Amino acid sequence: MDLLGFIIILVKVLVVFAATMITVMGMIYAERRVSAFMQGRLGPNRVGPKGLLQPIADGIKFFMKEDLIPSGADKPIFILAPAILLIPALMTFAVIPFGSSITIFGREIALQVADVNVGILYILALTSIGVYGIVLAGWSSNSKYSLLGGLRSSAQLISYELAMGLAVVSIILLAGSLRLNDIIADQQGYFLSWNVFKQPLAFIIFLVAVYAETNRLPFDLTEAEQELVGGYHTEYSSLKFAMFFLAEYANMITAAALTVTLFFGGWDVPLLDESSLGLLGAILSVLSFILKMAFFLFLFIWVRWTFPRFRYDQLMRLGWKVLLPLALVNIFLTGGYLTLTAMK
Amino acid sequence: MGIAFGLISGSFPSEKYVRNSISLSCGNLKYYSKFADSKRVKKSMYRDFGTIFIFIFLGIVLVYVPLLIQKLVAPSNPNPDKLATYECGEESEGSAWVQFNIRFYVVALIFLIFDVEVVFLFPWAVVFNELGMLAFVEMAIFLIILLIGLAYVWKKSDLDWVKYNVKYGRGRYASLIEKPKPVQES
Repeated sequence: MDLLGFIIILVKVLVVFAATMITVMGMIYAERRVSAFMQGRLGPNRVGPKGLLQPIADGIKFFMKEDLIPSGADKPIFILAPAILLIPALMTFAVIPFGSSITIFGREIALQVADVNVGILYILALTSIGVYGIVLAGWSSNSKYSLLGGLRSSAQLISYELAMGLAVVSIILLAGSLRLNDIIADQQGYFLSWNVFKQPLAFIIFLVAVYAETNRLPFDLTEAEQELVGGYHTEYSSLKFAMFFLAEYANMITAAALTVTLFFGGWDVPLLDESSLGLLGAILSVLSFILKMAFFLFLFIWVRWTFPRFRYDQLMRLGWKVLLPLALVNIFLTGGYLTLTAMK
Repeated sequence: MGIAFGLISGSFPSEKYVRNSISLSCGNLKYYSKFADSKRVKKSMYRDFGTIFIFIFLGIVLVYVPLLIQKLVAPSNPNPDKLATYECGEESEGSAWVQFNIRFYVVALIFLIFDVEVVFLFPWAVVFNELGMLAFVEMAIFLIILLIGLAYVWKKSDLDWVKYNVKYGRGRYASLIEKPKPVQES
């Protein structure tokens, strides 16, 4: 590999990393402001213009707080748990294509960090690793609330993950590849070619599962602050507590990006051929990706203040008795349809 | 799911169609070049996963460097009360590491079986268009066998949180037979 290629890769990694962190901060701010508006409040508006510097102020505060490790806790695992949750959450964005390609220095640069040929498996695998972080955090705290929160997260995992995997299978059936770029290429065209129109059932199943995966309302059983104090992070303080928050928001960003990639054509601009427009096309494609993602991030907040929390036996019933059979039926239908059209 | 996917992704690099990954022509996504030269494919795979390793490294730095900085700037004067386990202001009652019934043990076992099923479905879905009818029928048989299993545990009320509807309560549900059926909540 030549030096220029290596530098390009490094720059891409840094840009994506920085963009993720900035989006996380923006998301923390947006969540508090939008929540406040939905409840007829103002939200944080004192730090900086319109309160925009609030996330930074929060970050500094987290830094300066005393870091407590309960005397009864299992110390090594207690310290390791936030890292197990946060690192995979940050890594998932590496394979998501966020735009078409640009040409600089006479070489074509794909707007994606790593074009892994098993992209979708990579994301599913990493998101399941994150659950270990929650379970270990809950267990190692040696607190009853934390333990219950951690156990609930494993109960949650075994309920939604099958349906999520099966919903993704029906997308792969259409695209015939695990590479995210191929899945996007399969959806190119005008926007009726997006998977959300071809696979509406899979989209609904996937969306519900995504909310369970990111531990957001209506499925935030692991935290459930009214009954479990703070759930798995009850005993965490200062920066380690901040890491759980960071991980939650990073997961939300990845989930939104993945929903866009799988069902809304990724960076595809409707009714437009990006590749023929050169640099303008690339910019438009990135903008379209950001817009779609922003909508799904907003949806996270919207849903949070719209639906009440599920009980976790209700979540298990939903996962096993509704989503799983529906997802299997969807695979049968998709497979049958593809077989019939291929025979003609 | 993670481990199983790890295994399966290890066996995937010899995908039939591998796009010309040196030029990475994204504007030309529909175009596939059948790659005979597996050396170049391997090279691009190493590059992609190498990039991911840079990502992992950055992630670790992002987690542990702030923790180190915090060690330097944050105050630290713990006392036994501060370090006590939180229990709403009461003194904590014993350890949380006790045995108790998590109730979803059987569901977790069923989950493992179905998770492996999903792992088998992924490669099937990738090559589905090339195999056609044969793939569909074979996977239908496989799925139906598993669906019978699902129907069985459903009937046996292993998926229920409260196991009232046990007709043939034996073993772990034996004590539930005689109880009157309570009003089912919707």
